[in-house]
Amino acid sequence: MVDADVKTKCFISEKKQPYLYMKVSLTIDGEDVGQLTPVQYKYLIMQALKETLGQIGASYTVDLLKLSSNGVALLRLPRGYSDKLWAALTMYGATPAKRRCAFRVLQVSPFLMGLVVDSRWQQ
Amino acid sequence: MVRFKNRYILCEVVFPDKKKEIPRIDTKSVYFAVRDAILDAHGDYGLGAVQFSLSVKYLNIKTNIIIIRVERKHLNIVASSVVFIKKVASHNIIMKTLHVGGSIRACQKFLISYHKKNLPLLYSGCETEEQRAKVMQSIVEACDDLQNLTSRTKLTAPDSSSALNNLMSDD
Amino acid sequence: MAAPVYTDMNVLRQPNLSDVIDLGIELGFEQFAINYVVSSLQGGKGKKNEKLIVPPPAEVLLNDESVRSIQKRCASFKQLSRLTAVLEDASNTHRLGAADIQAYDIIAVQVTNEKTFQLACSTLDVDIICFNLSESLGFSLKRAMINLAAKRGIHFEIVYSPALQENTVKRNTISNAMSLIRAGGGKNVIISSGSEQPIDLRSPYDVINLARLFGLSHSQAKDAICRNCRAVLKHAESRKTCKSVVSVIKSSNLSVKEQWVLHQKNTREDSKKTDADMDSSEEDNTEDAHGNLMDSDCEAEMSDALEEPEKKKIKL
Repeated sequence: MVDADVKTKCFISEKKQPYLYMKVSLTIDGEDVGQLTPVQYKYLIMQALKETLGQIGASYTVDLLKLSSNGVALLRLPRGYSDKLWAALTMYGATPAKRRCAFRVLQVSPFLMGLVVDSRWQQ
Repeated sequence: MVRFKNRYILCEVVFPDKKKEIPRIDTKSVYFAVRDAILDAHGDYGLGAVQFSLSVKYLNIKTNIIIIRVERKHLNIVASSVVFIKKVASHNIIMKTLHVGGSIRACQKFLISYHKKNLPLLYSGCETEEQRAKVMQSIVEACDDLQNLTSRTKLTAPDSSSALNNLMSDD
Repeated sequence: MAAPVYTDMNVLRQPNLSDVIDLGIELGFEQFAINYVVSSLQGGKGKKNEKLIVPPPAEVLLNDESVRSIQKRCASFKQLSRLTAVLEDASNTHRLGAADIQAYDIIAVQVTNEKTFQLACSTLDVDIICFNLSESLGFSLKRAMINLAAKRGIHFEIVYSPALQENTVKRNTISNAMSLIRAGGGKNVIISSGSEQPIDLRSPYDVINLARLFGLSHSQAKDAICRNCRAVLKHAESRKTCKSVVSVIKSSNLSVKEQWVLHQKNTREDSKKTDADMDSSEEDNTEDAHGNLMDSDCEAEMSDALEEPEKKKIKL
């Protein structure tokens, strides 16, 4: 939430941005997501891509920028394939250990700065 | 009403292993090989998008030519996966894409010119006149096969004999 | 422009329903249709005399207490009752017209073969047609049939939650959804979760993006979970009215928003005035006859229509 007193400024970029930044939360049924290391988290993401998009989908560079302790991560996706990669994350429903899991996208922005404020819940 | 448009991928199957006997492959095993390659390269999305329209329309064992049909929109998915096919029914193979056409007829036209070009290459391996005749015979048969395939879909085939005559007269 | 109301048209009726809805609200959905599935319109197997027993919608829905507690968190929360009947053959479809089934807000049929598909598209009075997308359909979706159904205001449903568990199912779902969208031109499609567990739910924006993968354009994808769902509700509502023009309800059942109708009636005892009212209401309502509201391009108009009382009620 932005404080009402703070003046907000609007920046509009005409340029096409090369990346899409995404805030994703992962939930796994009956498991504490906070225990996941970044390597494990990235592994699950790669699994998700490989399942739905195959080897070619898994070859796109998805970067895990930051992982919080509650299973929320910041991802960086190449812009051109972002909707397919996003859909692949959405379609991922079971981990390799057959536990149900869900990637839920919280926020999307072409700028990393854009993830600071969430406009969806802003009144 | 919009017509449902397809693309036909014309491929040659090359057997890298030098063996005496001719490996037997059939339409079904080629289909499953293509399917598995798509699943591996493009995953569930790729196969889901394609499986509705994917089919192996034609297979000639003598000339090792196959034609794969796919919906036009998803041509890329198949064309890029065909490259990754390594095995068909336990035979090592290489898929060589020759042509992509909008109809089987277009593929046939290309195939005739392709055979014509490659005829000297095939003849060079022959020693006797009989062998040459045999090679010629099998190519003509293959072209006839394909002709039947197109004439089934399209009743009028105006230059059916002329294409073959052309091929015959050229050598 | 009013904020879009995201609707999940298919939440299965099961014990931990309130968990699913709790999470759904957290994710951004506001309306839920709670689905009761009838596996066959015929009663018991083999016993012709046994009649199919359908629970009244009140049993399917959440009780008032839990609704109130949810509405504390999300004021615009709304639950709808939905009945899905699996059609194995064309027989017994008259049961859909029975009072206990018509009591549900939304009526859907799941078609299993070409015959029932054609029947549902052309004659059955239902709101939603759904398929078992996890297997190959076994019949082709004819464009003419889909257009006919679209003309009658019927929508087609794509359920995504079965696809999350198994690869073959995922593949078939993608394939079937794509052929459905290709045949229908992306019109009259709704996407719903069909979830049994909270983990099956995805947020509205995820669903919109998923719909893009199936081949919908961005606006169509968004419509698939807001505007088309509203059209389904309109269509369902029109089923309960007389020729989609006049509806009759008890004056005691009028909501607070619509009390003005009574007031007007009481102050002016002039009966001719009411006749005029009736006429105007006729004009107002003919256009929602088939729930085809999404034809109007102006979204602002739509949201205005939401604010106003939908139909002028006539006192008995």
